[in-house]
Amino acid sequence: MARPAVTRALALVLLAAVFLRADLAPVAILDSWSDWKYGHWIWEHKQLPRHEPFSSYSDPGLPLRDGGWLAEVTYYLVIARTGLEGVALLHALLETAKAGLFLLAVRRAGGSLGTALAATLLMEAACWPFFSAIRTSVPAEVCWAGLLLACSAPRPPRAALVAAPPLVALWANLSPTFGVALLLLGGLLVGRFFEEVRARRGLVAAAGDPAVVRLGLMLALSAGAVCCNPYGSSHLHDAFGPAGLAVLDARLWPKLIPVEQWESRVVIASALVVLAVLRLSPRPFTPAEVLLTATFAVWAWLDKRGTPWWLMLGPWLLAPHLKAIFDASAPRVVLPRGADAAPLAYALVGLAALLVLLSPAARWAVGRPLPPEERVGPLTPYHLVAELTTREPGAPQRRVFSEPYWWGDYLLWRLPAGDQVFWYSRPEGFMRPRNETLPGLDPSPAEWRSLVERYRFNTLVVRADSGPGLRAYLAETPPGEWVVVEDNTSPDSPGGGPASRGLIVVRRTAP
Amino acid sequence: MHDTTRVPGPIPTRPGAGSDARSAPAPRAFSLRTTDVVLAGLLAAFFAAFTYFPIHHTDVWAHLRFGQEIVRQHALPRHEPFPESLGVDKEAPYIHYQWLAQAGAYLIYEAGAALSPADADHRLGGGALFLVTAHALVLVLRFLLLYLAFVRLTDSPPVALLGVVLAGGMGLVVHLMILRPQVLGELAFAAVLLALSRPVPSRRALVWVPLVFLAWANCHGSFVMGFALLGAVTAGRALEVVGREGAHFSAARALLADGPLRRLSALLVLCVLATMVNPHGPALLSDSYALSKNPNIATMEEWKPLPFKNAVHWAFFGSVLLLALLLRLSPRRFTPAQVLLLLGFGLESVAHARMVVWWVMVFAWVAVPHLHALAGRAPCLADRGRPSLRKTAAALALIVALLACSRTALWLLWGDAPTSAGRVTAVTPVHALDRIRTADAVRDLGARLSAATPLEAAALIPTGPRPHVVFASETLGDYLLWDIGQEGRGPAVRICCYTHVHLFPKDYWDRCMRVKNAARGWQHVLDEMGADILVLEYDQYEQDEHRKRGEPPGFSNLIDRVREAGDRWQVLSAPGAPVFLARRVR
Repeated sequence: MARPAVTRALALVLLAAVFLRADLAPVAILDSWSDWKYGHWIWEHKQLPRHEPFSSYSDPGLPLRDGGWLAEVTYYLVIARTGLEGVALLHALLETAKAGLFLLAVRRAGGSLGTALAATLLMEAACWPFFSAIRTSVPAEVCWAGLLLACSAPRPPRAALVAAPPLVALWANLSPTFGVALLLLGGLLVGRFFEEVRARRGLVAAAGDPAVVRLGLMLALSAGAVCCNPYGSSHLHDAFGPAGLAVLDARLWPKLIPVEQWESRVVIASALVVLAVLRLSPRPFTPAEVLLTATFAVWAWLDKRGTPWWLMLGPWLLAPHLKAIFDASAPRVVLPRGADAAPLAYALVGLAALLVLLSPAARWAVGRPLPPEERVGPLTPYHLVAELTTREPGAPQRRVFSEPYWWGDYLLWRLPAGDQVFWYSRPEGFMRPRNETLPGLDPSPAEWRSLVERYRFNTLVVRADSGPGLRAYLAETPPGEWVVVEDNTSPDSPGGGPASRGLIVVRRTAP
Repeated sequence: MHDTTRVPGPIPTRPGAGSDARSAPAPRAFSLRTTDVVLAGLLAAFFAAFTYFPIHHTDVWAHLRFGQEIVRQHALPRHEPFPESLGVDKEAPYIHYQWLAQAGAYLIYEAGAALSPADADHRLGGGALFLVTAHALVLVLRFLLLYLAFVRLTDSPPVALLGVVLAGGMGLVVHLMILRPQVLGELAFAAVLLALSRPVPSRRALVWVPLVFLAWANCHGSFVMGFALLGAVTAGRALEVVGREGAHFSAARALLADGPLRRLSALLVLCVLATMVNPHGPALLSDSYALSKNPNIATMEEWKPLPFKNAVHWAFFGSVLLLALLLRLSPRRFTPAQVLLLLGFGLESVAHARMVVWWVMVFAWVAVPHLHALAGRAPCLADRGRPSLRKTAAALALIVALLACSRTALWLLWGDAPTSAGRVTAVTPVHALDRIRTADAVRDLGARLSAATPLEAAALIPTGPRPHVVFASETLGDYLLWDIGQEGRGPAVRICCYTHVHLFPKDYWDRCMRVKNAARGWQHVLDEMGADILVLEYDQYEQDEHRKRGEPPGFSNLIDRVREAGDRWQVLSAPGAPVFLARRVR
């Protein structure tokens, strides 16, 4: 049996740590529950929804393009067959695959497993808030890592030419974010072309360069492959700016640079790293590196939606330069080799195995899964909504208002069929009410009355700390008209806590 | 392959000591180069143009009121002395961070007012024009100091001029138009940069730089920025010594023996000592720290992080992009001091928009030597002409011609006395108190106001039997506080808040912010305060978002809320008027 090298064993430990961390993640507060509900609908109806299918409060005139249908169905099938633990395992495997592909990509680009390990560690640390929750956008990030691997060689190999188009086609069905794939390929092509123009001093000669030709083919085939989706070529247009769709504030930076947020700090830190590398790297920066760094870094600075892509692309682009800097200045870290390395390497492999065994997936395998309340996350009203998961036969359908709006995602998933949720984290779900006048935070009693009467709500699910205005409104209504159910779960119990505590107010009489 | 060699930067030498200068005959005294003529023309043009701009309605008016109090009483008030201001803790000691600037500004204003015709409008116009003229002079001095600093750094007047244009251009976007005591702090900052532009600060700097700090500590609380600057350069020098010696015991000895480091350390200590010469003595340092931790400060827009959709952000962003280019392309070494300055001031600028003011100068000071190394040899940046008296004469003629075009010269030479129109921003509620008095006499004057004279919107406020309580945004409150303090101005009026936010108890200030942000219970807070008049300006930050939604702009939604509460508030200002005015419905 071949002795494992220490660096490879370290890579195993890193991947095992990623697996453990990802397997402990709760379900994301935004999107995930509603995405699975969409997957459920698609699986049941064997077709894609043409407009928002769940809420009578949505605008039926607004067309819906469900760019993430494949991920939604996949996640739904996994949760339907294996429960939350199955979804958690899927998430852990996808995150590990992402880290593994990224590691290979950087190794191919930088030529050193040590650098690849450092870059992967950097990437995982930077993306901490993005991979600390189960989200249906993770498969797209795996595709991104795969594409980076395909583009890592100076001249893309034939295998990359063959692999990239199906990968992008898969991405186009998993998430509407596939446009970044074309952006990457386009940046690489333009950069390479400029490089060749400068080297060969001629446009025609540059266009004939094998790498340029291959990158051009990759881009063209990938753009063509994107059309292999239920919406055809119009999906390509959607990727670069679907018109008229509202974007949730939570997906954008606020008005001021949010220096207190991890994501923002990471972007600022990444800008500092780029500046430092620009100064210190003895390697020349290729036009493609300049173009992609400038594009994605500026995008992430100005738009939060660019952040996850930049935080993976950045280390990939800078890894060769980091290696060059360390080679030029830092003393080399010499790891034990040969027979001397064996005990350390075996210990590291053992550590990796231990990390996997410590994961909830291992507990699940032996029949002791994590309780669901630990999977839903501290911001989700798990205990509160348990009151609403069933409806008495003959009872009227609920018309539910939730505050905050993203509780609507979980309500959508948990409520019985037919109940109407006012809003959730899909813009097309609440496009119509959003355009109308809604009260801001902490509505006054008059605003509550107006809201309830206008939309004929019979169930209100609100956070405990937004209760004063509501209680004042209830005090003005006839006694017995509304029933208040409070969440009395201990804050220390799993699934409890101040962020998920709330109250449910149910109307007894018909409005 | 990219050239990775780093050429150590040339040791900065004195102006005129370059190789070209050595080969040329010694210039006569008062001889100027072409670059000097261009600089003189630019600064004179800037000065002349600047006198046509109005005073922005920031915190200048409250400072003037304090200055007036100091000059009239010939003493520094121990507490906030204004009976018209509500909510201020009148027992708390008032710390005089800027008494010299306040008193000086008031004297300048009074000089302008005294030269004007006797009516209030002309007095305001003349005083404001004198203030703007003084402001322009301070800015020109600052640019001159920066130019001299850049010349010291690069020995290249054209590149130094480029640096001044860079700092001036960024400053125009950021803060140049704002008159406040801090402009004197910025002038002092430029002076310290000049002293630090030699490889080793001179002996004379050990005398004049502490004197600058002494004046700075009495003019504005921003003198701690000077400590940050000196501290970073000193720490950078120490790092350089340690880097040279390695992490050995000998590094400690080298640190003690290093001449520049000792000079810088001595300068830092002397400057700290100099700042203690102020009405509060050494306590001013701890008071400044306490001020920075005041919870009310954090609620002010300028102390919040950089806003994305703002010209200041774009100026900062552009400077970072330029820095990226310089980092890659400059053949000069970036010294540890430069790195510390860029990191410290850069990160602080992201966290607090107000810090960009200092970033502009620090960035230019760091960038100019690298620009010189990168592009100094470009033909367009060469000033090969010899200094001559003819060029001096041309510069003088240019200066005189341009100064003669200034608004101040138009008044002083040709008698065109200014009024308030155009000398203060349109949002400033100039005639509010006069017209309140008028309206007191004509109670049943119409409620709706003319849109034609927005400045006079406040004029038509009907008055009640008791003193009016005005809730104004803190910046408009500043002007009202000033205006109340003038002789024979208007009826008794009390204001709820103004820009000296640290004077207000936190609870009171939070309530003011609740009103300003139209948060829940704003009506109740106004009831408690007894406010019967609202004077607000439209918030620039909100305008774009409102426009996108096809709505008229609002001041943090308060204007929208007041408009909706028609049963309680009567809107008096016309649509589109720069000042929003409403009165309580009786």
